[in-house]
Amino acid sequence: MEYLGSNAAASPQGVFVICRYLSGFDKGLNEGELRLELQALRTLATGSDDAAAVFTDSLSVASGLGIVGSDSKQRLRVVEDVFREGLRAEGDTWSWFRGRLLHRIAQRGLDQLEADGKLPDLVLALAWLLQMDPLNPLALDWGAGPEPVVRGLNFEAVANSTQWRGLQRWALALGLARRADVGNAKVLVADASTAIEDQIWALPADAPADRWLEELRRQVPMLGSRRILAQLPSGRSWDAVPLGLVLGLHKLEKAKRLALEPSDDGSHVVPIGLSTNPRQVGRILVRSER
Amino acid sequence: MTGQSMSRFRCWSAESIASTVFSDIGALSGDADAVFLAAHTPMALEHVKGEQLSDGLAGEQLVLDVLLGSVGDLERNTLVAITGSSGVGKSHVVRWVHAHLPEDDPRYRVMYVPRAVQTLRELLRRIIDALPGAGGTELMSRVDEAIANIRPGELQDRLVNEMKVALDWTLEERVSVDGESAEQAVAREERNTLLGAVDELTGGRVDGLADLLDLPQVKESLMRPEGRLNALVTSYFDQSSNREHDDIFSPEDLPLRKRGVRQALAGQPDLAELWNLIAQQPEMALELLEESLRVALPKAIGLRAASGETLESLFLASRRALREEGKELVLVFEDLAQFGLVDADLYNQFATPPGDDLAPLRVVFAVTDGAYNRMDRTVQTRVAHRFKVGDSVLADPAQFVGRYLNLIRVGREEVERLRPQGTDASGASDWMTNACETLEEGRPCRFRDECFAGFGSVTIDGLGDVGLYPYNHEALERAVRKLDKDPTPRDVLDECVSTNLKEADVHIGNGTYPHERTRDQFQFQTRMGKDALLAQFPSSDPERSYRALVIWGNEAALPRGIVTAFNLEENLVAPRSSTGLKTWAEPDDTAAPPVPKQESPLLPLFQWQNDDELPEADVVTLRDTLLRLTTDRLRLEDSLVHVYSGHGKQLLGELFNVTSFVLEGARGRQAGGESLRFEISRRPEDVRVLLAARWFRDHGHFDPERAKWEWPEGYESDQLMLELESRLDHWAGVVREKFLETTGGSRPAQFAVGLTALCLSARGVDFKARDLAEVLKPTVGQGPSPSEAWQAVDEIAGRFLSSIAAADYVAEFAAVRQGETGKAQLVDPGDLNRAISVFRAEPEASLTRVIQMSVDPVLVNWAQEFLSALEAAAPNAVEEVQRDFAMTVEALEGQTPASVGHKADEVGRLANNAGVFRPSDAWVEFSKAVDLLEAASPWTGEPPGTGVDALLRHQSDIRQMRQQARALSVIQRAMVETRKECERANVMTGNVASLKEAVKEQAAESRRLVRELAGGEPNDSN
Repeated sequence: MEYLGSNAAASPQGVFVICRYLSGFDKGLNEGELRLELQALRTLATGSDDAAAVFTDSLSVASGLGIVGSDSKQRLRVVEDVFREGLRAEGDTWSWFRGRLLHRIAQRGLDQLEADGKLPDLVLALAWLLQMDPLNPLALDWGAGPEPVVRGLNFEAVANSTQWRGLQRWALALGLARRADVGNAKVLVADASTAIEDQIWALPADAPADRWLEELRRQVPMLGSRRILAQLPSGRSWDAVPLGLVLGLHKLEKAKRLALEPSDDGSHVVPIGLSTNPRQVGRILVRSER
Repeated sequence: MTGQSMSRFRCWSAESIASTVFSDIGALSGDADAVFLAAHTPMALEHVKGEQLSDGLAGEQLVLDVLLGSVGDLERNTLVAITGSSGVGKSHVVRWVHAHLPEDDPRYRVMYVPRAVQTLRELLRRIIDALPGAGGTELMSRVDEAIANIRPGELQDRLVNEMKVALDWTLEERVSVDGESAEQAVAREERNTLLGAVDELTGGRVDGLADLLDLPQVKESLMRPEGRLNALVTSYFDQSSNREHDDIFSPEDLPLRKRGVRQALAGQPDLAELWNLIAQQPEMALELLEESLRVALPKAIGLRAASGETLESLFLASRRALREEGKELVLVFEDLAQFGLVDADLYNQFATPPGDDLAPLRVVFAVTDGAYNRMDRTVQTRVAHRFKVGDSVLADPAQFVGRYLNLIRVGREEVERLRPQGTDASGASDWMTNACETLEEGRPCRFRDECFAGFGSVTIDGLGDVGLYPYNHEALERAVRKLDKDPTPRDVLDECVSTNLKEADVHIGNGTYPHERTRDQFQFQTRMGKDALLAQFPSSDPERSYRALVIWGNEAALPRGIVTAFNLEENLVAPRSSTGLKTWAEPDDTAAPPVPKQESPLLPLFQWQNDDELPEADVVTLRDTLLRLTTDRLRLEDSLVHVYSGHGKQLLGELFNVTSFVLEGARGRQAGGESLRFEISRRPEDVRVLLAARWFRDHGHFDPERAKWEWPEGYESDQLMLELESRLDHWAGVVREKFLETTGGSRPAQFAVGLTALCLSARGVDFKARDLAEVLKPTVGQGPSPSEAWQAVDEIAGRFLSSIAAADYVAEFAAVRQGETGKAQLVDPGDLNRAISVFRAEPEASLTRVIQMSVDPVLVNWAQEFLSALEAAAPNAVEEVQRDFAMTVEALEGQTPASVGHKADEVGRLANNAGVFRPSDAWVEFSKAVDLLEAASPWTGEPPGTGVDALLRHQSDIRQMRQQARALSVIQRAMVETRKECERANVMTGNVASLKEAVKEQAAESRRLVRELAGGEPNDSN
């Protein structure tokens, strides 16, 4: 499945809105009715003509990820049980959905790699983005930074400005980047802090650093999984602890959500740092929620 | 001093400072030449007037040369003026000249008036004593009588009276002179006008400035305690030598803005006109007052009398006596301003040439530039040489201060012992000793090497290397920079030598130097953050260490000598790590030349950290940066809220804006009320965030290698970025949470669609409970016309529907936005549909909720207006409903509207065909009524309840029933009239009777409906 290519108009929020509305119908909803309801603004001045594409592409992504299924007899669209239950819960369903969506994107990506020998463009692009140095972030403007980098690598996952904007949309919404637009700081900073926090429920509360990070990569393989790094363009080395992940870990440590502790015996140590003098982290502990 | 350690060592004391340092030479007695010369820094003088005949001479030597060079010239006097601004050292030059005048030269007699001479009487005594064979006893007695036994107020009063006499009688009108410019002519005529007209009878003047002095307001202003006249009078009594005013009177000495002057001049048109002239341009009046004062003062203080001695007569007598002896008179005035307004006699002498009976004058005097320019032209033109003092002694502050440091160390007693006496005194220049070389009984100070290595030294001509302790070059520069923009030598002596050294003496002795006040005594400019510097030099006394590192170290390590002397911690000698900080062993001249960069905008931040005020431009930039960086990561779009335009932007702006960032001590508006406030203090962690934000704004990265301006020394780029990132995330989290709590996320959209649904209901539009698409339609529908009582509600609902587009709220608070246009793409309809249902089910409660939750002020206003209209309309509207239904019930008589309509149509057509339909012109109206009834759906029988909710919920039905009632009324009237016509014509009666029966059958059911609408029990009977 492609995200940035053939489903360029899809977005995490589009998938979210579709899934959340469908979650209110146990037996599902006719696609036409669903489309009509969600595109209520389409014919009005405040709405956009692109709404059809956003709906179609987002539904296509949701279907491709298996989050939305269909009843072929009655032509009804149905949300997968796990997502239906989660989206019906009280409170902030978006952050719950965001974490599950990222995990699902990653898992389906690896499945696709297994089956077709090729990763989805979004998975590859996110893995590449996270390798970027947060101290030297990429410009928001395609021509002012990303384009020469991508061209230099002959990297096809993000091939033009439209796809670059799509990648920004996905990375920001999935908690893998921060955006700045002030003065000369018009940049996209790789920062996995939100994405890591979204996965903490599935991670060990206290584990050696290498094992903890391995578990994290199991949830979100774009954070340095060897299988994914192997798919990135050759010509430069890619970090198993990408700098976007490093920044995320440091921020969560500063926020007292994680503790990055040195090793007692020098085993299981992972060097973590943005500068030339990384810290040797031996254990990672999850602290109680803020 | 403790043993052989330099710890707490001092080579000066408060006493030695007091006895050797005199910033105002007026405080240094005339016989203290040794002290004066011991620290005198040669001055650079500009020879602005007069011929220079001697080569190789400069400064004070040249002044002495031109003065003495004219000795022997019996044809003319010689005036040498030393000019310059206040405090630059003019008097020092004169003092030096006097100190180098050979005392025993038989060619002349010296009269020296130092600045130390303070009062007029002392001045006169000095002159009289110095003038040979001149008498003076009578003059002194007269002055004593004039000044000694009166109070300043009385003298002031006397002065004003004498000024009036001068204006009325003494001062003459000026006549035009050849070559007078137009401007000078105007000034002259204005002066003559101000003097007033000559009274032909008395010869005195009338309607002039003198008459105005009689006005209480004028006199009060002139004699006020803070006025110039009082200051002048007081100066003749006080021990003050500060008489260097450039102007005698100022505009404040006249009551230019006081009320009552014009009123007091009522009836004196000439004086009133004169006052108007003065009020517009007071300068000439002030000059004339000064002119009159110059005439008045000598009289008032006894210098002038009808007969007897005057200063002039004394001078002349003395000059005659000296001429007989073949000698000349050398006059040395350290400050000509001492003569103030009694300088006329002196100036007369300057202007009186020598001759066979008068000795020549050789005069050297110091005077400010302003006073020199005001000097009478007859004197000014006789000045043979004018030297102007610049500020060159401070071109090298170390040289200037070094001499005083040495003087203090040597001490007054030793200095006076060292200076050669007698004939040798005037020419000798190398008699002063260097304390660093001789402190220990003629041997060098035991700490000399350690002290020089730590604090540095300055090489001074005639002294050699003089230690700067307790300064070093950096500290001394900071001390001087702390003074005014253009400090005078006097300023430097007062602050950098007297004050600073006295305090240093105490605090070095206590081991507490540099104490807190050094922050105010030295310029405290920093180029790096306090925490960054202290991180390199951890200290148990961080504040004192910080002061030392900044003032003496210029934010680098300190030499060991300083650490030892000030009793500081040993680790200030070298930084903990080498992140760009210099150690004392690493002079920066070995470093590569720096790449030219823009000036760092962080310097004001570092100053702010040190309690300075942050410039407004920096505050604005920082607040804007933080606001935008925080807003960029709010991610409210994940909650389907759009905050970049429209209502969302407005709501966010009220909650979070630039004023939310409150920088400690910074000017500018601060967030109040419900707005969020983020306090940013001068603590290091906050400063780090600010400087990271500023760096990031300007660079867009954290790479020091690609810097436009210098990376803040002592900070790691990843740490700064992490601090900024974490803080921005924190702020964004707080703002997001508060915004969603305040607005409820999609709540504004829910309220907008709910209100829209209610307004549509109020207009009688019928739609399904969850019909979001219907509510969002831009066209506003309307059902049948409202009842009279409901019209106000209908009107407000109509206005709401045409003013508020619920779709805008939905697009801003409940939609996915993306794509090129950023327009709303997909709506999340779940909450909106639920809102429509709730609003329709509980209108009154829902409106109350909109008002109470106060999410969006626009919607709140509408809800209030709408609810008020509903509550006001409800009682009458219910009555109207009751009336309509009562009538309907009666008219239907138990049948459905359709069947009644059908039968009425049947009867009406028969009657019409028979020509008996009446009223004959109402057939069209009748037909429409029939059509309406036939098309009407029957009443469902659901009891609507009472009050606002029922009226709103059933407004569509209510309006239909009202239409039916009207239709029935039309039919009923037609049937009654037609029956009358039939009876008259005796036709079709049977059919009409049958119709009446059919209508009766529906009466009971209709009555029940009416009762329900009115709130009664369905089974109530009437």
